[in-house]
Amino acid sequence: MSDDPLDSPAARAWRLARQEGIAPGDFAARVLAARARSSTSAPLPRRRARLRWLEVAALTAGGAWFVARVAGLFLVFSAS
Amino acid sequence: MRRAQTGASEAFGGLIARHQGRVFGLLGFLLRDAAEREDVAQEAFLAAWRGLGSFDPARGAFSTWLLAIVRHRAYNALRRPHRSSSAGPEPFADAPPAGAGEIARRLDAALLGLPVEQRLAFLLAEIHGLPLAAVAEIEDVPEGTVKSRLARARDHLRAALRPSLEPRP
Repeated sequence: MSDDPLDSPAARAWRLARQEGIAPGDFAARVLAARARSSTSAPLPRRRARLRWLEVAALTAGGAWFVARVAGLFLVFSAS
Repeated sequence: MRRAQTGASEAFGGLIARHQGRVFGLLGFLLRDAAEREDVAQEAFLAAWRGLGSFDPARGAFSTWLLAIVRHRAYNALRRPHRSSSAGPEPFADAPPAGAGEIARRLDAALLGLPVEQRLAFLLAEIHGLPLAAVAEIEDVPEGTVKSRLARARDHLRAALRPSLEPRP
């Protein structure tokens, strides 16, 4: 028989008792809910990227209209 | 496991239920604050879920892979400023089991008094019964380092038990 105090029955019982901690009763449900929340928020960056493209398109159209307008005015003035 | 890898949430719920006791057992000796332990456990399980596709059962057990994630998250929490320290005079694990007596209290206190690396090596090898190779993988150090950490931890715990074994006058 070992005379190592860490091999004593009391020390072994302590090791066994310390294998498992106590998780909150609803822990698994909480993790699943957190996962569901993070899944629904995942497409957000893609939505933001689509909006950015719409902004660029609108600015480009506005810029083209402005250039055409200036060019038209220039033609009117130069003709008169 | 395969169903959980395909994203089935109830299958992953089963994995959580199977491993949460072990995860909380480990965190009970690493982090003082109960809310922080829950946060870290949740972060670890979420990280495991996200990375489940990369887990290869041929390379090792799921529990080893999960505990490596837990260790990483717990160490991150310990590094955060203004959060709970890992050392202190009063125990922060769950109270000793009823009837465990003086020896359990001494072992709890001695384990909590160890540097965190030695504590983790002892927890994984002696409490959870993992082989040296798995402990080395979880701690991300060579096996020789684990052996020396374990030897120092055992010496410390033996010394803590010695007074209780000496005959009383």
